[in-house]
Amino acid sequence: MTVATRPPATGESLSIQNVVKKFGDFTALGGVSLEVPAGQFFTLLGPSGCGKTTLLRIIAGLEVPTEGRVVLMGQDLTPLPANRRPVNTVFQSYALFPHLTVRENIAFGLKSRRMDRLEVERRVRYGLEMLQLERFAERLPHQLSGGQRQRVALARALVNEPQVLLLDEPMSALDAKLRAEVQVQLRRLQQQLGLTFILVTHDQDEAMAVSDRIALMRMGHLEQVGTPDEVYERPRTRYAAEFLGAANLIQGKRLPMGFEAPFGKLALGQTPPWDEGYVAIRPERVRLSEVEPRQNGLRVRVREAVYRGAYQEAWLEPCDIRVRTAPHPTLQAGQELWAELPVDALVVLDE
Amino acid sequence: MPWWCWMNRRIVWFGELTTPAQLYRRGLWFLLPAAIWILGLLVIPGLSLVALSFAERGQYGEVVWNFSLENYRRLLGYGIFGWSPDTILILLRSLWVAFVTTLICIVLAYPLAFFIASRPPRTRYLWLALVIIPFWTNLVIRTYAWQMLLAPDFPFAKLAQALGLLAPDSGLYPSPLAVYIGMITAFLPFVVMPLFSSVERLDWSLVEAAQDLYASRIRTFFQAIWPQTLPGLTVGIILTFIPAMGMFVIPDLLGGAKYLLVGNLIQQQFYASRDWPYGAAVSLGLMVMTLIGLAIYRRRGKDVDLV
Repeated sequence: MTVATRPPATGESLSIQNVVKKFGDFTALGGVSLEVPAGQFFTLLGPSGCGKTTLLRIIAGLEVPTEGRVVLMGQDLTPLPANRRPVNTVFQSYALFPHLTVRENIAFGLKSRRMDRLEVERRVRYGLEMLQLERFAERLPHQLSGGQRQRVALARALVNEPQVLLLDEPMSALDAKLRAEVQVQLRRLQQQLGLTFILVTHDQDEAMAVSDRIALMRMGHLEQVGTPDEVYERPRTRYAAEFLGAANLIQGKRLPMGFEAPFGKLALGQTPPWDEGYVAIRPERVRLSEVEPRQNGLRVRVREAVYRGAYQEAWLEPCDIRVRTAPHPTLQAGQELWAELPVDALVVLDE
Repeated sequence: MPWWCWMNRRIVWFGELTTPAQLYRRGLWFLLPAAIWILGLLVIPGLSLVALSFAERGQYGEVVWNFSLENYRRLLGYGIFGWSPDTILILLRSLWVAFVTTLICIVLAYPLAFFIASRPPRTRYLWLALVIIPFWTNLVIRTYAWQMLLAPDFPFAKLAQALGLLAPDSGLYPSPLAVYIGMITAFLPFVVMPLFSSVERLDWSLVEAAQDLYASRIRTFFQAIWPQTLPGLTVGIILTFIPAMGMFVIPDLLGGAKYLLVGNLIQQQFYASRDWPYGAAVSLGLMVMTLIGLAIYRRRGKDVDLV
C-alpha cells in the first residue's frame, strides 16, 4: 500500500458522555461514557443485542440518543444530522449504491460536498490505489466479490478524510481466511493513516487482533475497557473472563491468607474484595508436571484429553479444570499428575 | 457460461439422465393453450387489422377489399377538403394527455406509496385496499359519478364559481380538466400498487449510506431511493401510459365533443361512421406511437442500467 504516513493526532478525542438510548420500553444503552483518544483503533465488543451497533449509529448520527452527548474534538455533534458530521461509516452490508460503478461509489461523498472536479478525481484515484481497486473502477457492485465490495466500502468512506471512521461488523460477511487477512490490512491502514477507527464486532479474536483498546459491552453497559492484554489477562468480571477466550472459574471463600476452593487452599497475589466469590485462570496458564510444585499444586487425574494439532486440551478431575498445553507429550485419559495454578495467573474477579 | 452449454449440460431428472434442452422440448405440449390463445386472439386479429387498414369503405359502410393507402393519407390529415391538422392534433393530444396523466399519477403515487409502506403491518393492507377498492367499481359507473360530482350544483363547481374561476351556473364538466381528473383517478392504483411493492422492499441501508456520505435530502432521494423504486415505477408507467393512450370512455363522458382523443376517434370509426378500414389505420397509428413511446422510455432506462 502506497499511503503517506501521517503523524498520529494526539490529545483531542471523541467523547461519549452518558449516552442513553431507549426504544419504547427497551433500554438499548443505559448511560454509556467513553473517551477515545485520536488515532486509536477502538473496538466495541459484545454479543448481539448488547447495544454496540446502537452506540456506533449514535456516533454516526443515524440514531438520536435519548439522553447524553457525543463530542468530537470539543465540538458537540449531538444536534448535527448524519450528513453534517465529519465521520464516515463502513456498513455491515457495505450499502454500496448498486447503480453506480466503483469509481462513482467512491466519489459519492466528495460530490455530495460539491468538491472541485479535479480534487474529486485525485482523491478517487488515491482511494482506488490505497485499496488496490484500480482494476475494478468501472465495475458495478454486483460484479465484485465480497472482499472487493468491502474494500470499495472502505475506500468510499476513507476518501472523505473523516476524523473518525466507524466500522459496523465489516468482516462478518467474509470467510474465515479472508477475514484474518483483512484484519491485518485494516490494522496497517489505520496505523498509516493515523485515524481514529471505531470497530463494532462480536468476534473476540478480531477485537484482540486489531485493537488498541477494547470496550466490552453487555446489555447496554460497558463491562470493561482496556487494552487487549488488560482485558484478557485481568478480566474484572465473570462475564469478561468468559466472553474473551476460555476461563476456568473457581468459586470459593476468602481466607486470611489466600482462598479456599472446593478442592483445597490456593495462594493469591491479591486480597479479594469479597468474602465469597470467584477467581479465574486461563486454561493455557495452568502448568502440568510430574513433580509436586512448590505452591498451589493439585494432584489431578486427566478425565478427557483432546488433541487439536497446535495444542491439546484436557479436562482434569476432581477439581474440574480445563487445561491447554503443548501437544507433546500426549496426555492420556486416566493419567495422574500434578497441576499448578501459578499465583500470577489467578485473577480475582470483582464478584 | 453461454446459454446453450447450460441447456445441454447433463442432469438427472427423476433417475433419468437427460439435458435441460430435452426436458424443455418435452414440456412444449404445455405451451399449446397459450400458443392457440396468442395465435387466435393476437396474431390473426392483428394481421387482419393490418389488412383492413389498406382496404376501403363501401357506400353503406361495408368493407371493400381494394388496396389503397387512402386511410393512411387521412391519418396524416389529407381529406377531401385538403390538408387539415385535426387528426394529427388528436394524436398529439392523446400523447400529451397520456403523458400528463402518467406524470401526475407518479407524483401523487410516491407520497402515497411511502405513506402506506410506513404504516404498521396490520393497517398497511387496509390502506392499500382503500386505494384499490375504487378500481373494483366499473369504470363507466365511476366516470358517471365524476359527471355528477363535477356538475354545476355540486360543491366543487360552486367553489370554482365563488372564486370566479367558472361562470355562474356552469359545471366543471365537460372540460379537459374533467378528463384529467377522470384519467388520474382511474390510473392512480396502477402506479401505487407496483410502486408500493418496490418501496416496501427498499434497502434503507443505502439511504443511511447516502446521509453518512454528506448527501442532502434531494441527493439522498435521487441517488438512494429513486433508483430502487425504478422497477415498480416502470411497471406503473407501462400499466398507465398504454391504456391511457387508447382510453375512450373517460374523454367521451367527461371531455365533451370538442376534446376528442384517439380512442374516441377509433370508436367513432367502428360505430357511428362505420368506417372500419380507417378505424384500423388509426388503431395501428396508435399502436406505433405507443411502441415508440415505450422504446424511448426503455432506451432512457438503459442509461441507468435498470430496465
